[in-house]
Amino acid sequence: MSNLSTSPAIPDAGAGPRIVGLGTRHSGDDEIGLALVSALSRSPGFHPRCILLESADAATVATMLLEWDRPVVLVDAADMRLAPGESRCFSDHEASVLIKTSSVSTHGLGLAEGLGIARALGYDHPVRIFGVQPFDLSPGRGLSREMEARFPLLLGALGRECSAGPLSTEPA
Amino acid sequence: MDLRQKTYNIDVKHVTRVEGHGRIIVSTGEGAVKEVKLSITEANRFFESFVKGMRPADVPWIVSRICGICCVGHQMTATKAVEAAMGIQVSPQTVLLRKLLTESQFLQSHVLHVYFLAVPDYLGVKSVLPLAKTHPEVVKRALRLKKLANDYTTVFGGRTLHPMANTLKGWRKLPSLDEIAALRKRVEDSIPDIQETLKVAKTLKIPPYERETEYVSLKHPDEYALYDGDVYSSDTKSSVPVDRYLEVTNEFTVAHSTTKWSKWHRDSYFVGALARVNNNFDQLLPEAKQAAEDLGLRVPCYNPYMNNVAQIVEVVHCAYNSARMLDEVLGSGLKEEDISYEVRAGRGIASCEVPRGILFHDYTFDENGRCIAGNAVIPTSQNINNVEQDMKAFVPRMLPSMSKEELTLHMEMLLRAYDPCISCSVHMLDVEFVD
Repeated sequence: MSNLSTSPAIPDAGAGPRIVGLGTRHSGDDEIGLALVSALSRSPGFHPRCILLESADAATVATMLLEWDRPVVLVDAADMRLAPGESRCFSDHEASVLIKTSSVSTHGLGLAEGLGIARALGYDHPVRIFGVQPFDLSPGRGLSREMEARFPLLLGALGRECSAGPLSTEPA
Repeated sequence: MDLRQKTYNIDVKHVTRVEGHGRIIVSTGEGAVKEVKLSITEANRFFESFVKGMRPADVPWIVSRICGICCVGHQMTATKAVEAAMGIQVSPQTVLLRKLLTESQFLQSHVLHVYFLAVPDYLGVKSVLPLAKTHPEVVKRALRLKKLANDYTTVFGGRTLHPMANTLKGWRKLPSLDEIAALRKRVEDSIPDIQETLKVAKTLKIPPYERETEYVSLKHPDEYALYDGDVYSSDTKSSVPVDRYLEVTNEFTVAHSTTKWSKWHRDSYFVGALARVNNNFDQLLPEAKQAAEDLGLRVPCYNPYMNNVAQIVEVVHCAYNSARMLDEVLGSGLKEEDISYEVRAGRGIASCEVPRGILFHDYTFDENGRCIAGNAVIPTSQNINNVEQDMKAFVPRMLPSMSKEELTLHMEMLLRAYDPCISCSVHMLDVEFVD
């Protein structure tokens, strides 16, 4: 991993939307958001905008969005009913980010709820979600071999999304 | 209504606002309760196997990953257990810093549970999301308190989750006194938010249900026991040393649960905030005692729903106690300490209170310092049996006066009151695209 800040209180984020990697390490492909943003931060110009929120609960996500008060690209593993390893970038208005009621969330309070709370409390900037369909979420290991093989493609796609100028809530 | 007409088949397949898969099954008919079960279907997570072969200092960092909420507690308990195995003694400075880190996690966890998971039930909304629309000031206050607690953990642990600054025997990187002074001011500034929290808590209508049970927690002669102590039972009014924890937990299995259950002096026991407040009320700070009185929590309290109120009382205690401990650090300063140690073979057992109750860790190392055995008994697995006993007593008592919907809601609220962490797992979005 890079020396990227995992603390939400980073200083000047530079121009453009903040790029936020979410996930949990050592939980299979749930680490993909952290890994992609960490790798992206090593590309010129991206570092000041990148931040990792590891195992962030809804309260942390909501607080950060309200404090940052700017557009964001959220990068996370997502169950989008796509083939494993595929990615899709969409706005939060474009998809129904369901409240997860199973175990795969921090007490049922994850990114979707954090985003919902921030929206309800007045956060009105564009949000785009770069979701990656995982292969394997087994605990105790990092990215799956299949996801590692897909990693360069995913990183390229994320880089293009984040270089595309001001964020829009419209479908790309 | 004629009870014989009350035939309910309640099956809550996924209880929401708890961590993990919990299923409530209630079946009644002909005026009688046929079945009440709390079914847990989580898979084993094998952390006790992951640590085998690991070096002493790595074990606490690995087991921190058991939980994204109680990471400090798992790390702290494992650190103490490994130190016991290695024969490591720690300085008063390290103990003080560990107590601060511990209380930061209590604030984080209790604020999250009370505001985001429990309060929606009492304010008649399904989750914190509609609450943000109907009571934005309540949610904003919760976010402020949660952020303070997160930042508090970051000051002492280096980051909010899975801290890395603390290790065996001491601290790898000490916080600066400037950071501590700034935190001290923020803790003081948070008092109005805590007072407002008490006002909200006073309005909550806690279900009037009581069932006496055994309350188990750490107990310490000099302080409200969170970091250290012996294992105390409200049944015997006495304590046993932590290294006899297997006599306390007596884990056993039942067919409808993959989680092990526990019992000590009776069918089941209760761990968590209510157990701590019941067992150690005299050692709460005066502000917390006053909060308990204001909120109608009088010990011994046998109402499991009051666990949420006990959590708020602990928020008050931890806020004021943190201010006192921060003053102590600012008064004495911090100095770098030698954190080297000799590896040896041995077994170490330790316990801490974590937000959901008493936690035990037990590790054995060989002469090369490699871990060869590990055992962790978490609070929720100790509580699950007691939750089901509560449900079994609650259903027949409330059946005559409650509709199916009311009964279902109260069963879910009962489980949520315990703040269970049925599993701690990865998180992932579940997305359905709108056509």
